[in-house]
Amino acid sequence: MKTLSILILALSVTAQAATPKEVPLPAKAAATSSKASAKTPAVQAKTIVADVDGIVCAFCVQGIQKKFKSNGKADEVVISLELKKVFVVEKAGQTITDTEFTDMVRLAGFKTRSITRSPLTVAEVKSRLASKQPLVAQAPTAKPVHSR
Amino acid sequence: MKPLSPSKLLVTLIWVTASAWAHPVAFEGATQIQGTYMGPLSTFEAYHTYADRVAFGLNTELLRMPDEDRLLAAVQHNWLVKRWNLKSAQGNFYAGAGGGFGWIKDKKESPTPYGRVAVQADFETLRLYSAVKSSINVGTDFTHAENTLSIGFAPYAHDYDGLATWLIVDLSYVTELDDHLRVIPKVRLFKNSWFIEAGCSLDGDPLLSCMFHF
Repeated sequence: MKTLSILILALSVTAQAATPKEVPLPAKAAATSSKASAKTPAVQAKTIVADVDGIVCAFCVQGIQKKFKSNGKADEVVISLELKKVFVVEKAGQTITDTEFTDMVRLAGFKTRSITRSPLTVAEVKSRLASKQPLVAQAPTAKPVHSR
Repeated sequence: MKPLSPSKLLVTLIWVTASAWAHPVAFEGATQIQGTYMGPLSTFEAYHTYADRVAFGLNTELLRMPDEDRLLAAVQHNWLVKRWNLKSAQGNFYAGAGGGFGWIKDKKESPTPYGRVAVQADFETLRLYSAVKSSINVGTDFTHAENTLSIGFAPYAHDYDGLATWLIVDLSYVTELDDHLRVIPKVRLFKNSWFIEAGCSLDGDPLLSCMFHF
């Protein structure tokens, strides 16, 4: 029984170590790298990260930025042509729903493929994407045990 | 002036190509202004996208024909008929129609009315693009069609806040003006809300174009 307990504990530790985790955003970093956080340091930045189809040039970027600016809920909009991603930081106290987000992108002339949300700043999100780190925390998953 | 035959008109309308960014319709609220000088053909266009997928503006051009000069000015309405948003590419089909007045220098003292129809299709990625553009101007004293096919590539990857460089070849043919296909290699520099391009046709005619967008 004691051996079994040690084995389960060891498996649990291994599974957690192998699962990528979101690194908490340091408050100081948030305050210096995000406009929203600089205004309200107590509020953690929340970045909407979306895969958007069809963005191929600077004019596409301007169209999307203008749409979010007119909406009034976005504090920062950054677009990566290379990654085909749109990063939007919500203003403090404002929430942009997935439906609102998709509609604004559609009105700008493009198509939203997927939306995720991250507590990271835009700069950190882009850094993680470049190093292929996950943007959101993933729940530890139990691996099936195969008996032979 | 002979009007175009139906078959030539069809070929003209089908033959497409154009500048990847000189879209006749931009995002809602945007205004774009473009001027181009290319030897015997100079154009100035200004369009405002007043609602989703529709724009209205001005189209003017000066053609220095072998035996006359034509100055045309028209108002034009443009439609983004269809857009294909792909993961790493975008395709568009536009149509435009308008009307105005044309002057034939030294032959007509007063301007005469004309109508104008244009189509444009393009397909572009971050590194490649192709486009076709065709327009026809039909007036009481003149008729001519303008066709351009453009193919280009970007020698390096760029993001929107950097300077994009494109190497492009235009194949252009204007009825009554050209007796052969005009080949125009050019370089386009594109950054934020403007681009400039410079080139020279193989016939020796210089090309200079500038577009601003706000």
